Amino acid sequence: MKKKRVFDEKRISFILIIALLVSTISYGYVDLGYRPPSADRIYFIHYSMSSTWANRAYSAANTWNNVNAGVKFIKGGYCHQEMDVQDSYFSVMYDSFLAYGWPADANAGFARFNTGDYGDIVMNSLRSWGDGNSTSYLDGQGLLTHEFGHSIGLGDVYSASDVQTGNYTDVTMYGHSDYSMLNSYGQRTLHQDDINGIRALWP
Amino acid sequence: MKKNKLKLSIVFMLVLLAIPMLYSKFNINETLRDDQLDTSNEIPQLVFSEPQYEEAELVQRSDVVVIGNLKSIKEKTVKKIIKEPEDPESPAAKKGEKIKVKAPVIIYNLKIEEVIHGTLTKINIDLIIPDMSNEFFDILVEGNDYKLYLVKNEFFGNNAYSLLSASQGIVPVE
Repeated sequence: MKKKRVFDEKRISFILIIALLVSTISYGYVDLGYRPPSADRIYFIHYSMSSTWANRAYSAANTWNNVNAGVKFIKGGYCHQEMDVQDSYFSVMYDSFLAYGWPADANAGFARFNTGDYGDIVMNSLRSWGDGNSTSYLDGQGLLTHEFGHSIGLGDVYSASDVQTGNYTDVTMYGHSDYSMLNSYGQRTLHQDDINGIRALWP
Repeated sequence: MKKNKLKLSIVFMLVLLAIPMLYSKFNINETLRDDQLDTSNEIPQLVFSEPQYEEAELVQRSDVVVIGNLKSIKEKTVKKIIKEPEDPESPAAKKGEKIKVKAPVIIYNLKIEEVIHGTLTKINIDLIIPDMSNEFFDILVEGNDYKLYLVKNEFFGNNAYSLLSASQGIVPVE
């Protein structure tokens, strides 16, 4: 009697083809090419920010924490020292971009000066900010969620080739936001590609 | 016999393809823990979220739009600026304290060749560019001409200008 083989060529080929198909599904994120020095990201609220801004920052950080990836944002409280983008503190700041020599109409920026630096987030006070979906202001929490994404190594998404699961303008890490685009409020909520990104960079 | 050999060859080729692809997909060699971080690569160090404007709005939002020659680097500096906090509800503002901010900048000497929009009284102005790596600033080369969308920046003097936008503020002129 001929014994039936459990792993014949057909089955092995089938398994391998499935494995190949799975491996061709790439993650939909852009790698900034930078990793902060620690998976515990202690951030400080600069004392030039109101409690309204601080609460936006806490909510934005918690949005990433809720993914349960291998990186965590930890509140460090208020900091009172000068805002120096070259220091090793990770600060969140609200200020005029012109004082930094940065582009006047950019919404927000993430700056990392030295290799291994934790970086800083600055929200541009020359823009109009608020809470919610509006054509007259940007949603502060939404843009902070975007900037916190940079601080863990995620880059800006600019095209359909950068995402896998939907419209690239819907992802939190989409690099453009404006009042008229009404997308900053949506940036509060992580898209599957954002989640894939943090999980891939911080397994 | 020939058929079996063909099947085995196909299986062998699939194995060869699958191993490296799965290896890279699941980052088997890249567990980004503290002791294994690769921070040596040159990457943009300053990234922005920005609006995107049509040409008319770019011009309207700029104080001046010029074509200028990037003559030379006048200064590379980290200027400490002492200023009022911008958020009136912040602890600093409530205490009446000023804040100090520091960021590295390159101050270029820009020779104006044509004013497209706005008014300039001087033929040379200071162009303030962040001294940090960014894909949009990194294209600037001394001696070259650029069309620039600029905003007056009094933090750096009464003849100083910053870009309106990182991604749209600099256009190389051939």
